Amino acid sequence: MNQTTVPFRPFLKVDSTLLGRFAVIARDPNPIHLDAEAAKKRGLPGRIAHGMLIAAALERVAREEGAIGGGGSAWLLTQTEFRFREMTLLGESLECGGEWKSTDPHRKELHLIARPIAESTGSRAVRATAIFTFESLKAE
Amino acid sequence: MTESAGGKLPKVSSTVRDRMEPESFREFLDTVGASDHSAWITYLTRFRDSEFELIQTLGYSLERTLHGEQKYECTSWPNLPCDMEYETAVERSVEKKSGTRGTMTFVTMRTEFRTEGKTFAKAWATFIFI
Repeated sequence: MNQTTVPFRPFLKVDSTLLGRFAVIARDPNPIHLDAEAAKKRGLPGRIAHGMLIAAALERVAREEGAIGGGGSAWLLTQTEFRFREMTLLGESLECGGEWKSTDPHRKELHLIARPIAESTGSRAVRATAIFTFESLKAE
Repeated sequence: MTESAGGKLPKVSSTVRDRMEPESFREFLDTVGASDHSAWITYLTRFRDSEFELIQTLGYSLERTLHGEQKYECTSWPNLPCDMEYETAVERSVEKKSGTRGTMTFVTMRTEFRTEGKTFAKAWATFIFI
């Protein structure tokens, strides 16, 4: 199996404006993302980021990495998987990194983990993991 | 502690239709910083009316909903604008886990995305009800 490391880099800063905008476009107005008091009533420490916001931002990174490492448009992103390990709090900035894994010349996977940047939070526990599968366009 | 809720979920599914316009697609991509117009999988992460309907049918509310594990598969990329159909069904039995935040209930839903009668994507979404 071929493996290539993808260095960690910042990819998402969770601020109030972004959460408000994402709630509208993702059709997810759950108050735990928008209202600190409502979040605390649910036993949460405060407003948390939408899991799918992190997913979408990770996919942006994956597409960029795929274009760099896979020969541009010759590779298509065909499958994604996300697991959310810990909640991401308002105010946190996340970084992601991981590795490419390939066992087939026409298929490769990018495994990424997302974690807070050290100075933005008290805990650096992994917030989410993701696997992106790219498949090459085959000549007809 | 982990325990199965026991029993079977009612056979529930929901199908809704939607008109996909390039403007709403572009707005979503802009918000998450995506530039690739073929970023269909990103767009499919939006909540769907069929999921809202099933959440209510099962007796839960959006206010108590978190996203758990998610998986998406895309086999083709429709041109916009297009008419789409989503069919969502509860796939996995409810599982209840008790933790530091009390009891959480896990439900997995499967959605098929179709246009012009053909499936172009599938999604599996696990929702956690707190």
